[in-house]
Amino acid sequence: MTPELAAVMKALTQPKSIAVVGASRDPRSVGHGVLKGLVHGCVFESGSCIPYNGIVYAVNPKAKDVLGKKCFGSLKDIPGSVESIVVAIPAKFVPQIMEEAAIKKVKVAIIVSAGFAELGVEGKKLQEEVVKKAKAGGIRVLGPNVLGLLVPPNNFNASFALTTPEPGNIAFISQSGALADSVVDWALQARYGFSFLASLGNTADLDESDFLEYGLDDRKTKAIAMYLEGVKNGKKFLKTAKKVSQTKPIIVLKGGKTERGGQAIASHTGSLAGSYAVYQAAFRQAGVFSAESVEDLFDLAKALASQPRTQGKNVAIITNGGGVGVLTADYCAEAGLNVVPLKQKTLEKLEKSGKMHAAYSHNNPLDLVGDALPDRYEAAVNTLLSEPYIHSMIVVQTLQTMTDSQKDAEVVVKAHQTYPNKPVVCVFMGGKYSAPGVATLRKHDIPDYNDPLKAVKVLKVLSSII
Amino acid sequence: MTRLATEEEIEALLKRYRIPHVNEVCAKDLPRLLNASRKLPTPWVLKIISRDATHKTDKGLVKLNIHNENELKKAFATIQKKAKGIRIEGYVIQEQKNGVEFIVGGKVDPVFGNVLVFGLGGLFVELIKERSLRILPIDEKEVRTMLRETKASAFFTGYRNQWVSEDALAAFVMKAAHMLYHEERIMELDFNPVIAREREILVADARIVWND
Repeated sequence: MTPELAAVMKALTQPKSIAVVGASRDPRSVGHGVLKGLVHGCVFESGSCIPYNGIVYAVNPKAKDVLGKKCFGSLKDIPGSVESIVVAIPAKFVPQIMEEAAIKKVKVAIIVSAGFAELGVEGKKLQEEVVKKAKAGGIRVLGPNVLGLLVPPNNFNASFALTTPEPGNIAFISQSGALADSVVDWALQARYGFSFLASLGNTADLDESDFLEYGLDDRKTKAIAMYLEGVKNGKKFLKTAKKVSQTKPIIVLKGGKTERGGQAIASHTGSLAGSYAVYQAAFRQAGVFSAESVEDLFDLAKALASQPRTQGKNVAIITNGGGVGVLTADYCAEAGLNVVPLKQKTLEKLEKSGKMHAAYSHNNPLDLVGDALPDRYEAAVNTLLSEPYIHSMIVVQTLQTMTDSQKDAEVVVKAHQTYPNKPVVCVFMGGKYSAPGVATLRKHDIPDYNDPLKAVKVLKVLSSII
Repeated sequence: MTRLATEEEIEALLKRYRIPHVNEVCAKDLPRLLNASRKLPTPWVLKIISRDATHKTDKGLVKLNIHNENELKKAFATIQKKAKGIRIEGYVIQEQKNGVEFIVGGKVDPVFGNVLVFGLGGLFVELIKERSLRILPIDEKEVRTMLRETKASAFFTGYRNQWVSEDALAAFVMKAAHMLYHEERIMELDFNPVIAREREILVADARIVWND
């Protein structure tokens, strides 16, 4: 990041003081939600709701106080300095607020209000006026028409998202505010943590490339997930994404796959190079991974944020169920991963451990047989990971009466700590009774999926097969 | 304003970028066609020149496997009948080349700028849709990755007795990329088919849309 952008991002993500303009008393209003997000940490309790520890001001000329905060009639009435503002008032009043903010020497404005370029020509004019006034006052703008910005590690929730997710290592940059909001709720249940969530809105000023730059320098962020419908400045995006992806993986879900109908395409090239295909080419050239669905986006983000990458294609599959082992091996072969035959010396080591069942598979997939207890998993996982010719691993666990999901998970966590340079992905199949093991894996950032197809999909990416 | 490049403009452009084209001669009428044909090895291909026609083969406006003057006269008559309602600006007679058919094309994307397309070409190009794309500029290493991404790469090691030199094709695509990147007037470009046989890579049909 340039020092200028770094200063802007600092003011955005951890302002010393922030004012909510349009801090309404109505609990159903956007402005009320934003203020509550800052004052309480969230609107609905999530277990990660901690009040923001910067100074929070409420601006509302019609109220005395809201949520225990004294209301100021306007920005100008606030005695101290204001670094950041969140604007949640009707669009037509926003230019006026920008003028006041300029006088107040505000650095950044998150404009939540809708009713700008997304509405057409009139709205676009209004947006241009806002940007012009902001620029004249030296204010950088996020939005308009955004959900807001959440930075869980800073306990910063300047949004009308229903709650705050746990802090974590995934950044989410979204052109859809509503999608981001739903992801927050879903992440709570799936126990995903975020380093920040930025909804981009109309990108009148700050755009996806600026947040990619921030993600690159942000120490909490390990992977960046994006939902994009289109970028305005393709060259800037390509250049930034290329730079960022060398250090931090970027995964994009692109909306707008289908072409607008009715347009006659005159050339062959035109029909082969539609807008979506061009985006995919750009992603590829920028080293950006492409996701196919929302779930896929976060499956990949989770794996890329927590697991090392390898150039090697040799995968070992360990399972206590033959069928799932076969499926996993099929998917691996289709993905271009090599289910490498186990060498004689590896089999000897397994035998020597004294933990193998007489009927174990003696091959890859390594079927430990259904009655495998954690000690058998432990011998198998560690023996195979210790072999230099094995580059990655999928650990499958099906549930039998004696299966100890919790301990099996601990075995995997420990082995991954011993061999941190080899990606490990788990398929702990089940639901209610596999939950303790699954929770342990999640807690230690070992990706786990309920379907081997998903596990193979992420391992394919971790193994640099695109 | 956009408009289609003329045959002469295309010829000059290909020459400037040293992009090889199938041997061909343009003529305005049958006597001149017959005269021109004497310089070309058989078999021949006869096509019309018209800005109205994109999918010429579909409309019966391309005749293949013409071996002598008599067949040329017959092909000429057939094409004229099929071309009713289409403005004919002239005719092209080409030496017919056989080989693997590719498409090399380009366009200006509103977001990312110049985009290069390579894929399996010919008549079924839009049905097969076996192609890869790159945003320009790109280097030769990236061109090779691009070529290997599609099923077209099967021909680099030989498929059904047909072999295409990867080096020659990469060099050809590189030239096309170079042209597309440097000629700012080009809005759209179709080399389809590009006929490839061993080390010989030739444009058999070119279509360019200028932005004037």
